[in-house]
Amino acid sequence: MAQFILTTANAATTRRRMPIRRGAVNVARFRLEGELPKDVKRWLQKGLGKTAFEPIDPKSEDERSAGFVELERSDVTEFSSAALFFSQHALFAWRVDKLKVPTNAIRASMLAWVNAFEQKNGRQPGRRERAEQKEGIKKMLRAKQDPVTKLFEVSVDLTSHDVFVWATSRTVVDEVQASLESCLEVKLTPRMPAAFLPPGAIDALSPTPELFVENR
Amino acid sequence: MASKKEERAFLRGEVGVDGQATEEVQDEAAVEQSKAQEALLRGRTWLGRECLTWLLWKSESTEALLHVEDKPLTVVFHGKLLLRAGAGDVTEAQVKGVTAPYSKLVKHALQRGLLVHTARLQLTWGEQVFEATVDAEFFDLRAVKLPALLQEEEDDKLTERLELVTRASGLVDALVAAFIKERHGKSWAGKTVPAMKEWMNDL
Repeated sequence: MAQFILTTANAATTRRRMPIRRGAVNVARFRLEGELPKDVKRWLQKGLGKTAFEPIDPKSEDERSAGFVELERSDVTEFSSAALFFSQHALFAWRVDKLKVPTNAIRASMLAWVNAFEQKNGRQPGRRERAEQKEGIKKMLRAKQDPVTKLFEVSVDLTSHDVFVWATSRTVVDEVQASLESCLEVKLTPRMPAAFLPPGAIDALSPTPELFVENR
Repeated sequence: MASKKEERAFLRGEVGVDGQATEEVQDEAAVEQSKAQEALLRGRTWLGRECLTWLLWKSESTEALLHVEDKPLTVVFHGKLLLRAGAGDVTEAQVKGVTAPYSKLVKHALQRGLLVHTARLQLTWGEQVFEATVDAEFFDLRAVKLPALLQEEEDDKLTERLELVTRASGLVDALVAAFIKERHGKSWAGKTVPAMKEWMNDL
């Protein structure tokens, strides 16, 4: 455990409310299967780097972007030892950015343009003109708009191999699980009763009929 | 001559040449039963429901259910309790009240084939008291209440908080492991289930 460095992050650097530090605790629980690589630091840094967060390009058509970021600095994906390791834990976050121009904003801009077009040309714009204008308005509004960012913390206990995803949304939890399994090349087993059975034993079990069938 | 609306419905495959719907509209009750059945089987939720119901039965005695690292672990269900069934007239029921989980009403529901799906648990391990809401499908820990933190420095607090969450998770794991040991053992069908049924019938 010598390579793990204690961070010096303090409350002053914590701008956002982080459930990992305070507030309600809601965690989805997993266990890392198998042995961890000897060089945990390199393994995590390389793995998380593969699925590091990339901001949405406003010029693109992308409406959503997700990836891993440092816990304390959600715009940094270096994952230095000081930022990543805290005591026996690796701490980082899953960042989800969404950039979607509200339909009512496009509609309002379109209406204003149609009125101006009618006054100028004495006729209503054609279908093609409308489509072109709508695309232009969408691009213009998109360039002005900031993405909505959400952060979900992830903690990995390097001693017990427990992985906690600090989120309530099942979609987010599933996404983080799949991303971690893919980028770290590991298997994450959810801590549900079936996981406590010996391999293969679950297939031999079926619901207890006396408990599920109504007993009048 | 078919109207444009009828023609579009035909092209979408919603109606046949006779103008009748191609698929039967499913009965509302049948849809609900099928959803309840699917929820029971999805991710082997039935095993989680058996686990929480077994835990409710075991916890009524208020004695320590097991020892974790030589310290006794007691469990008390309190507050909201959600019961679900995979079939039957009632597929979901929720009760609320400090001692509601141990009420006759709940036993009656269990007797009728509903099992515990979501519960608020109070876990007392030695002198530490944890609270968490657990559901049968994922066994995630929700709205966890941790023992008061002893540390004052921000980083020490974080370490302690992480340790306590890991501890809470470990205690739930210990309970699940105890259930699985019994569920997978020979005494489940012969002793445990009859005892649980007797408890449910004791109204």
